[in-house]
Amino acid sequence: MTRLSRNRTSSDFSDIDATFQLLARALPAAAEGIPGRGRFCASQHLSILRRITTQMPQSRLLIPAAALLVLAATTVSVRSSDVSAGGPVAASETPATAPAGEFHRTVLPLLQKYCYECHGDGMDSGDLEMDSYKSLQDMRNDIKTWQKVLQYARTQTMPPPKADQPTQAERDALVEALHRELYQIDPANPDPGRVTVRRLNRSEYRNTIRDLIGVTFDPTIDFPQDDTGYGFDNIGDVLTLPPMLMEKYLAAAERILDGAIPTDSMESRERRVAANRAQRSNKPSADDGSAAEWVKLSSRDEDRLSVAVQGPTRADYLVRVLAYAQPYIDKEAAATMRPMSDEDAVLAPAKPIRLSIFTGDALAAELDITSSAQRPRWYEARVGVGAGSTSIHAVARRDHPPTTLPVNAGRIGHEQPGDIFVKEIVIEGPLQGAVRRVANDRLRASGHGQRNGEIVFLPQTGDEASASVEIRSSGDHLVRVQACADQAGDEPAKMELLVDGTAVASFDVTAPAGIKPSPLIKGLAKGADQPLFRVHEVRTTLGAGKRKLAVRFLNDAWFPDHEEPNLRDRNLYVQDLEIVDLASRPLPPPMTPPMRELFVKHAGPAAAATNAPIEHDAQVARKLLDEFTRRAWRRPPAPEELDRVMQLYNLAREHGESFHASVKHAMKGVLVSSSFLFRGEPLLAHRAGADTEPKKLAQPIGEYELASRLSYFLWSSTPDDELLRLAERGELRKNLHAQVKRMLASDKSEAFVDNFAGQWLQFRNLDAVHPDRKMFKVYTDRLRDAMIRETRLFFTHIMREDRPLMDVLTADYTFVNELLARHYGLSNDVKGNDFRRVSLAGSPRRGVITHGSVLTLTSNPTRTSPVKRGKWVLENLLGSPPPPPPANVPPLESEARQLTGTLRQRLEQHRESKACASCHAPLDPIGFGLEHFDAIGAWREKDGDAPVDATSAFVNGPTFNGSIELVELLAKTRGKDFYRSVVEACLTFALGRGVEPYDQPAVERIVRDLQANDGKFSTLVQGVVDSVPFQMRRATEMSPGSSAQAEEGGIRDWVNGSE
Amino acid sequence: MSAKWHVHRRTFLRGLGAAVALPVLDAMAPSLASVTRAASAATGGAAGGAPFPKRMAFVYVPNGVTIPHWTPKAIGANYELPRILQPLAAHKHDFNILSGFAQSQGLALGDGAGDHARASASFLTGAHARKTSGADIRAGVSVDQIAAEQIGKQTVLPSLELSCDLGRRVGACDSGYSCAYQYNLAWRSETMPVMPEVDPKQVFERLFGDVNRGGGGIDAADARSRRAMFQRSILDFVADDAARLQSRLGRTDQRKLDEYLTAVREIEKRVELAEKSAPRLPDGTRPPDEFNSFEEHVRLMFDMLVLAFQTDSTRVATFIVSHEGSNRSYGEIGVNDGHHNLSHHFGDVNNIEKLTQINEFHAKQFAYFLDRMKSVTEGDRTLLDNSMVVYGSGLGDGNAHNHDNLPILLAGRGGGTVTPGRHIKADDRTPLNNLFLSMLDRVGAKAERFGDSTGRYEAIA
Repeated sequence: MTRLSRNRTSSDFSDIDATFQLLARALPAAAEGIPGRGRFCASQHLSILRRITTQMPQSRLLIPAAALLVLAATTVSVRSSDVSAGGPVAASETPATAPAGEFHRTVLPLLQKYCYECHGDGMDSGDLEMDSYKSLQDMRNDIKTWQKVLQYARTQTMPPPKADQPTQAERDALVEALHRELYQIDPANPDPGRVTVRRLNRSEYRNTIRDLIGVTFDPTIDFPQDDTGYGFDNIGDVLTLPPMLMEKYLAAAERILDGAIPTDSMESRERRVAANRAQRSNKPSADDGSAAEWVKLSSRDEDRLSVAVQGPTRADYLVRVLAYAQPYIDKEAAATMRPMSDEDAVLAPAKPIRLSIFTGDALAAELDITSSAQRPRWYEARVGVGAGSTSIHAVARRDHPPTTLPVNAGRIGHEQPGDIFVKEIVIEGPLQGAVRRVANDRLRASGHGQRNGEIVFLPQTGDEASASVEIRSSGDHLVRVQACADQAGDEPAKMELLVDGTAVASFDVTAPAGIKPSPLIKGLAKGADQPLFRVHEVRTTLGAGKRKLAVRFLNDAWFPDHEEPNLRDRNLYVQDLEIVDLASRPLPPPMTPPMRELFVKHAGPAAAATNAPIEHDAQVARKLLDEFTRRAWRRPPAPEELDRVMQLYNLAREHGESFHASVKHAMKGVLVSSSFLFRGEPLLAHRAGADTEPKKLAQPIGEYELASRLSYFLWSSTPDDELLRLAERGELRKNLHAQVKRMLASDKSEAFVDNFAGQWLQFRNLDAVHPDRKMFKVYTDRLRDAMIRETRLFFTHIMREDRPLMDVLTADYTFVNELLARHYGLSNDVKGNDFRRVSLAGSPRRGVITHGSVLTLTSNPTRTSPVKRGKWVLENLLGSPPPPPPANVPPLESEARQLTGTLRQRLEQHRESKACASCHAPLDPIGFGLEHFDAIGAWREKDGDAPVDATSAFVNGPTFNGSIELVELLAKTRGKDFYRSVVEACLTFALGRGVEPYDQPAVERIVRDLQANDGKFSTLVQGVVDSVPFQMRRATEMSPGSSAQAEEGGIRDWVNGSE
Repeated sequence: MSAKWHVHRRTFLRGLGAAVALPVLDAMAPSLASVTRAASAATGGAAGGAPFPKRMAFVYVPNGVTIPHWTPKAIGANYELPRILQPLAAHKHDFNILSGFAQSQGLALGDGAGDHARASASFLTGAHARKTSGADIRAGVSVDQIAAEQIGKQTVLPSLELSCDLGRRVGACDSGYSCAYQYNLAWRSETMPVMPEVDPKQVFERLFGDVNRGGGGIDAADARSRRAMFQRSILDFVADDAARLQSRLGRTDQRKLDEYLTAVREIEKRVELAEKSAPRLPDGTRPPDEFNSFEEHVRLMFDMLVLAFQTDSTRVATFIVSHEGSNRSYGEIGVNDGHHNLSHHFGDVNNIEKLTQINEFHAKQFAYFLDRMKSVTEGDRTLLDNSMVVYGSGLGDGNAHNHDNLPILLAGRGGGTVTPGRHIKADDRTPLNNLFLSMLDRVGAKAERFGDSTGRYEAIA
């Protein structure tokens, strides 16, 4: 059967289907018809079918290359499917030489002894017939196949279970010889590989902006998620830059710099918005430029109009509304209102209807709309608005805060049945007056008061919320208190504002805390009881200096027998204070510290304020921008590059922008330039190196590039001043070890935990995993976060304490808080939310394999998955992914019998099918050993009704029972694989590219270092930093021979129909 | 004296935000008409004298479907809607079910496992994804991008890419394929997938500008032109910087810089467009800051898609409801198992039932989209009439991982060039790319061949 593929050279692929069907009928019989000899081989035959049928289209293009090869080396038997990997290269070289001595001495005998039973002497399981490769060159020409042979040999995937197994020494010898011969690696002339220029990914961008500009920018909101490769999101080849992202970079640079160097004008503006063009809750708004029209806001529906205000700084604005009111006169309409009291059912027309003005979610002011349709007029309120964007809502609320109680049926206030008509809203501001907010976390609670998240809770008479505030200049001030209250008894809650102990105002606090919301608010707010904070304002004179402002609760009351639980206890809640110095202009927001330093350093102390009138000075600007660009680009800009940056400054200057704004414009260019967004190699050195030493594959990267590689490796951020300074002096390489040590000790290395460990161990995925919360009621967001935190802390500990990496596998300690300790069934001593290190002695848990995070993310939503757990361990800890499943696994239901029993039993039945066994054999046993942990990592004795069976055995290996034995066995027998796996992952992350065969000497070296150094964490990091691929770059563009990067243009063109 | 309540600040914010529904923008029709007239004048008038442009969208659902509940028994107009398509009953006369189509480059072709990655990578590209975890990812230019390249110049955005995959997994994706193959449908070039937008608010701001910023609609014309001048100076600067850099780079690196330069040039065009006309400001259509369920998320994205088409901000779009191979669970309809797990149902009746419920759920969301598309009138037609929307999956039956007999539905009349209301059965393994070629013809984009196309598929006419 299989000969067909080799002999077939026809380019006629219209009959694929027919062939496919023919083979599909013929093959199973053929596979079964190989008795005895192919005991382990039969399962592989499925894939033959695939290859035969699918090679045909390609063969059309491959023939010329194949023909060349045959001409070049007539003794070589060529397999058409292999040409794509190395054909052109081989064709240009001399014909393959006679088999090398090493190959004959070491490789061949072992292959013959252990592999030929299925893959030689006429057998070709999995379409691999080893003895059809007549020479080393042959094998190199089909590097992909032999890479797999190498991998399977190393990871003990092959020979399959039950076949004769080589000794470890034989295995090692085979692997080493095969490796050396296949890749022709010359340790004296290593190939450092190719690193594509890399766009900063999201976390690198965020950290870089934080360190460079001092602005916290969250790209997860704005930027699309980065694509990943090799398990990491910093792989140059997959980090693309579509126009959409470029747009976002532009917008982000603008926003970031506006935040860091706020130069927006503080001049007051008036903005008029026609009511019909404002954002409306009850109707789409018009945007066709039509004239202002009256818009009805019905209190029945709690209609609202919204206008957004955008300001650079916290300031007061005047909100003016042209309005009139119309109480419901229609009895029917009024009747649908569920009246709160008889008195309210019919309202006197004269009664005003109230319009509530909200800034964000706070009730800032209430306007009594008294005028009628005949005489509409303007109503106004002064409100405080924070920096950035704030929505101002004008709402016809249904609840009408009363002036007197009692309260009806658990609800505060009356209904106000009526409509308010609004035609225009005018927002004017920022107004005169410097506004300062005394945030909740600056308030102190006294008496029985306590701070509870965002509020200060004052339960008893005399309790106070206070703050000490520096008043800059004597004069008139507005003081605002945001507060609400639980109501009880026959009067509203009262509070007093005191300045240095003297009362300056008292207020009734009618805004309800935790009331039963009105039906509409309830509908919007998903049923939660809502506090409603109202702003209480007083105008008073304050003297300069330190003043103590205090809010005091005046009238606690307690009616334990009231039928409404909400109306038994009167309490006061204070959110924050605001002080407006009416004599001062609104303050421009300050620059971020790094930007302020930069401006002050070059343009003098006066430049610390963005509204300071700094004289334009091109020389000053050039120096300032030189430094900024050097930091942003992580290298000094060339003079002509700086000229271009200065053109941006000059353009803004010529158009009348201030010094700050002009410099900012130039900075914006720097922040969206490719030199900032991409990390690349220092390019000038590149050509020079190639010219001087043409035979060397590698040359050292420059010092600046080294600084970048280091800082993005360990900090996921831009190099700091010290790194740049060392690079400038050419002294970084000399001080490498000290710098690595310093960097690991810095807080910034937390990024390494998140980005390297988070992706290597995959705990970053836990957010995207959703255990069935009905089945696992204890699985809450808090538990999930605790699980993530455990693994983070664990890895941080290994990093900071320079622990042996083997701890990852075997540690008998971990980090838990009370919640997690309880989930794990650990001792009861762990109390509270703080995490601490605990011993796992006496517990079945060891290492990350038994962390809740890992156990959960390798489970299905409703049950454990021994397969996924096994796969996770093999892939991430042992670096030996199982052979992929055949592409078309026969669906299980076609098997005559239905799988039954426990999950484990079903999997075991599944594995009896030979097609399935090849992948499941190495996977399942590991997972079985972890079956005592359920799908969210809690201990269990039973799976459903059946007792858990956690006994298991490795393929070809010893048996074990449960997690501890599993972990110990892995550490004992697979220690080297574990090291190799960590090293490869770490190298991938550090380089931003996959680990290639030519990196093997580097990998081996670090693995050896680890073995010699107790597997210390620092050995890993230093090893990576010292390695050839990290320290060097290719001297020429393409490496000869070893790289399997041959272009496959022909196939691609065919695929896209564009030949 | 209980101090035991929490301030539900965010909830309240949402309360105010949620009041802002997404109404249909009738008021925008006049401005739309003028834009369209200008556009069709520029192209010498749209085919058939239709005054409105033709739009093209592709909506992707993962893991195939339960085929027996998808494919109607009868062929032609008098067929009975199978179970999964029941939610679309109200729109039966507005779409065709197309069965028998295949995307054969999704097959392994010697590459082994990875059908999910290949399914999504091949679905619109007709190309065979290179098996790589990262180095040199490569598929092909997708059909939507071919259209965008040719007809996208007339709109603010050449194309729009949407997805509801909020949390993208890290680590390995399908069997040695880079995750890029599973999370992207649109490929601008063979090496550059176009990342979709997942946040409805971001989509809105991309379409209409950030209302709260200086660039919002209240700017006067001179302020706009000043802003455009400043933006252009930045773009000139960065293009110059990139060209300088590019000349000194190796081949792969040059490609990266190519992406960058292409992006810069495209934005230059947008700046130019923005300078000419104030961004339209659909107040009251802003999506809320948060959403509470997957369903709400999907619907908001569909809202954005309708809005983009309606305002003629783009004419080409792709929407990944969930990425191929997604293991999302659908708690909101009581399906707590992962979608991908269920798709490998082992023949279990319960699993098949749950899987079918997920398929129905997706169809229900699509029905919402068709509702919205039909609620927008354009002359004497609807927006849907002037569109062609493909809804489907790159796998036939998720259990079998097959790349033929794909579930494909084509909604809309393509401006009168498509006759909907039928179940059309194509010959087995008809290249899906034949259908795509026919669609490209209808939107006025030229392509001779596409992937393994063997001709046009004109039975939709």
